[in-house]
Amino acid sequence: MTATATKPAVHTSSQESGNRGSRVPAVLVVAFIAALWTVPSLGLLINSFRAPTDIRGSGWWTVFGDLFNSAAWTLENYTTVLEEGFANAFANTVAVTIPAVAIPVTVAAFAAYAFAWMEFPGRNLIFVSIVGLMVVPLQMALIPILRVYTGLDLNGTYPAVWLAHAGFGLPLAVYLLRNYMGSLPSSLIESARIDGASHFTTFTRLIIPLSTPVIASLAIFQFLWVWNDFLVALVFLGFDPTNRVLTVELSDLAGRGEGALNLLPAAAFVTMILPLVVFFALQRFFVRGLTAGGVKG
Amino acid sequence: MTTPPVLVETPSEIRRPLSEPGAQSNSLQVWLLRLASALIIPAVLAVFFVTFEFLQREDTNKILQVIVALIVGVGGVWALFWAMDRAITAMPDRLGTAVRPFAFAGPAMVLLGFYLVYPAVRTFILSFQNASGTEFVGLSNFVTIFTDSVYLISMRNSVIWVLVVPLLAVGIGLGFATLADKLGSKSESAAKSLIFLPMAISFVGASVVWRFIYNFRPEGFGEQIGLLNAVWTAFGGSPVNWLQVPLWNNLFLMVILVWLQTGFAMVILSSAIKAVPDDMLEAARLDGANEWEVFRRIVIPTIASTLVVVWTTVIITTWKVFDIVFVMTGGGFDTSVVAERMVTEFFTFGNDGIGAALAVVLFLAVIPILVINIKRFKEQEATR
Amino acid sequence: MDRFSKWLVLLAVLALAIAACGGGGASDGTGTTADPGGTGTTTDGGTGGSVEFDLFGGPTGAEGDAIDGFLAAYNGATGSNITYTGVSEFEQQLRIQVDGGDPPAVAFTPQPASICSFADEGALVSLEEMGFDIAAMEENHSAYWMNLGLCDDGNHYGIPWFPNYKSIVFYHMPTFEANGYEIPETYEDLVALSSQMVADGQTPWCFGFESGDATGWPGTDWIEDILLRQQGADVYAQWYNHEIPFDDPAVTQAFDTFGEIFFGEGFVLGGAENVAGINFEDSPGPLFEDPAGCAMLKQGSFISNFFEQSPGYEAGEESELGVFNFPTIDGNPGAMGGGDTLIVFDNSTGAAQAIMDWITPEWQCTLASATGGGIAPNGGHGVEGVERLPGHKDVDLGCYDTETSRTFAEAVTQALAANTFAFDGSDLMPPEVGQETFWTGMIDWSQGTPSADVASAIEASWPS
Repeated sequence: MTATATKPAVHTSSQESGNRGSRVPAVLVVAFIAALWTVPSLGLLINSFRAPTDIRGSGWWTVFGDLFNSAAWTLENYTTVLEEGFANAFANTVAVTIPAVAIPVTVAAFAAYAFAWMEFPGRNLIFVSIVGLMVVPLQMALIPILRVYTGLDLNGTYPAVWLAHAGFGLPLAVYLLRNYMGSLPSSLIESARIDGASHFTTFTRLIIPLSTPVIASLAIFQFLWVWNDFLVALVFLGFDPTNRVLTVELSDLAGRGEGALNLLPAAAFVTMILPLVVFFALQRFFVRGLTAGGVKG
Repeated sequence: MTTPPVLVETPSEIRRPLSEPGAQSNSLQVWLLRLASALIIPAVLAVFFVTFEFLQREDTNKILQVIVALIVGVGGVWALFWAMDRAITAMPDRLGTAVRPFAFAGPAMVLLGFYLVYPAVRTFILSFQNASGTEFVGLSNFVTIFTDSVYLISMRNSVIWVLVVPLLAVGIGLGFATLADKLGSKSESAAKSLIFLPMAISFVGASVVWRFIYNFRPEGFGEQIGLLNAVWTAFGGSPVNWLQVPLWNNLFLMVILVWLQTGFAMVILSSAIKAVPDDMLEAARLDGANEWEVFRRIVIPTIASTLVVVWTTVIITTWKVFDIVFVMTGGGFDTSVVAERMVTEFFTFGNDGIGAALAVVLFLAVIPILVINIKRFKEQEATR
Repeated sequence: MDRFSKWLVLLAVLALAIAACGGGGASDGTGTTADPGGTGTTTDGGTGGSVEFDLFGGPTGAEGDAIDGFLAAYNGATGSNITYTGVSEFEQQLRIQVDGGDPPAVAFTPQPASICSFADEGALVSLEEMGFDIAAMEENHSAYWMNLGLCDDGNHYGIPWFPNYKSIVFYHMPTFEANGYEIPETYEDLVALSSQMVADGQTPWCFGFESGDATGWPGTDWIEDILLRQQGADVYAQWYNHEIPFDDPAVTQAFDTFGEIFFGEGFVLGGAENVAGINFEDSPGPLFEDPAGCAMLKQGSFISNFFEQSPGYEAGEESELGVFNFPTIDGNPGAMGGGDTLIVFDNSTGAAQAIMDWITPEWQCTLASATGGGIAPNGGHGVEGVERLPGHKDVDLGCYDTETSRTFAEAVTQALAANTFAFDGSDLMPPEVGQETFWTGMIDWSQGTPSADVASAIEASWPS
């Protein structure tokens, strides 16, 4: 699971670095920050299992005074949430998310390779423009694109959402991938060329395997972004209730104001399940790295 | 449809590993191949088109639609790149070499052109027009946003956000990654997951989470259900409405973004730290450097390029943030930021000209960061 | 690589095959087949025959379920297929869809100010074109409400559907009975009663201005109700039409009059300076505490939907709350509220037929009540706790399930019949004011900024 398993050349933990005395403060600081970061989510988790009036009536931390009082706990919030059409929304979200991750990551990988290792006029200028596009606020893009979609009768279709997510996610993806691929040693690419490999072959056989960690990391970030996106899905999938994704359902609950305060924590956790599973499943790739350095050694 | 034979024929060409296909066969074969290749792209596009039609039908089975969506969405892109490469391989060599980079980068450029460049250009034009975009008004939108206190406050706040949030998110992320690196691998992994956790939460979810932190109830309205006020009153304070305290409320909102972004910074920086070669660290330690000196002299310079990437990304995210402010305060109590103001002008007031002018300001403000990045890429090219 | 290629071929063929199958499937237009002689043949309730279209609006949750329940009843009675979609960011979403060229067929908006802006863009179908009887509608739904949808081209574009009512005060009956307090008839009485309560050790008022990005709006209702009574309906209309400036002395006077209560010593639970931080949905909470934390709350009729979520609430406790009309000033009563107005973007599927049904007293009764009150020909919408007030002067009060709603409904039907119903002024102002500076102005004012300063700041923000 750690770098030791995949790449013994780099250090992993303090056992090798000795200096045991420095561990205690490190452990304390890490534990403190981790606890601080977890408290808000913990509050949400606890509240998701409390009765509606309790959520409103007292702070979530008060449960610690009476932890084993079974009357204080309820699954009611979850059952209500699951009855609210979340199964359909789940399927929709999966159908939206997987291609909306695969398309931009693939397109960006090809482009990043071209920007890093191919010669063509205007290469740097185009690349810098792409990085600059990261700041174009996507809210500005919705209406002009919607107009074109309306003309093409694309509104409310999955491809409309995939391509929109692909477009909006590309600048960051190209930026990060180009940054990583550009840092690979040129000797590697040159030797492949000498062996007679085409660019396509070099890319698929050499660059992609070497970039697996960064691609996986990027895929996770794009996944989280698309999964948690509300605006793009709402605008391009449109009104049809059968098309709704999880965030739209969640926002529907939130729109009921304080009245849905009891459902929101549970609903928020339902929408978080898959992102967490994906994160833990692919976590090991993060250890290898998203940016330059790993191969260069 | 003539596509299946073509698709079946071509794989034999790529079967030869790591070698350029096509060039050495007899001319008839080359000619046939070129003809076939010319048909590949239309064929792939045809598949796309037919599938689009299929997905637009409302009366088909939902699960079937999802499966087709996944197959075409995921497989289709690879098929497109593969088909383009086939087509180019069949071209005369010199033409192919000139065209190939655009086959690789082209789809990205097309997507970006439509989804971002086109709206950006339209926005730029709108910024010189009136509220409904019917006539040109020169620079008056820009004059307004640089003189009216409403916009000046949002710009002041945005600047504070961009200074504070990346500093805290990257700083805490870096410190945490460094210290966690000293733990055993199991506890390190667990600790990192806890920091990363907020990234799995949508903005709607995050606003719910923080409502249970910042909630305020004056005396007479029941027990505090916000953690911060509970702690505050336990120490004898009277309840504070955190999101309405001038200037400080900005900080409380920033904390939410820091909470969301630290995981991103930490994960990337952690991997960069792992990649610092052990022998460099050991050599420094043998020279008598303490841990702080090792960190400052070895680790920081080695991961410098990663730090720039992370910093750039977090700065841009911070510039663009609007959801947090929009949901928590709606920009009231002097908490508005430029991106939030822009959304309000556009979608609440229908004030397209002002909204576009704010977007242009947002864009121009990032140019210095771009310059730094360009320099860095030039250096990278020179040294590799 | 070759395995990959084979997969691609397989996938492409598969996709083609599936797509081909899909292509041979059902034809378009199922379900839209018009009922040829359908007028009135289905049931007694529907006259328009079966239609199919999308309805778009703001209510979600229980309020959205009530719309769904109403449409289910209507679809059932007429064989129609009308679907409802509610989103919480309704105004912005509708703006995006219209600008994007893909509006819903029919929507209902709480902000009449937006009607003519859509009409001016040519996005709406006029009532005249759809064949509505304008004269009858002015009679039934008040000429005032109809005129809110009267745009520059001289055509009407808004169809009054259902209002909510704001000129009311909820009060804690046991507290009033125990102390012998009387329902105040005039604003002076209301101020005097508040002072009396403070003298008796009872905090009179609960307030809550916090509402996320809309914080401040509950305060605007007070200014509107006071201004409407102090200056009369004409000046009130001049005010929201900006024919008098926002910082006119008449307006600052209304702020100061509100201040007699809002800044009264000990009048406000939690203190006036904290009101901006109390969520409006939490503001009824202290009424259900034991003893009651405050005795009175002025809020729209919809606030009763939030009673059950109060921490101190016990089942049935809302029966301890009574309502009285907001008192008169200088002998002027007033009926102020908001309301949802239907607008039609696309009548090609015959949406107008259905809408003509919806605004009849019979279908208003279905929309009004959860159970139908035993008299509605089509039953109720079946969502407990949600009751909609009548948008037609002749709706039977028996449609309402609770005494409180009957009180509101009576006030509203009378106001509609007499054409004295006044719309919430902030919903009629440009959004830069009505959805921003008026709200933030109320916040500043609640925290001590003088009335005149607040009013002139709002005036300065009025778009030219």
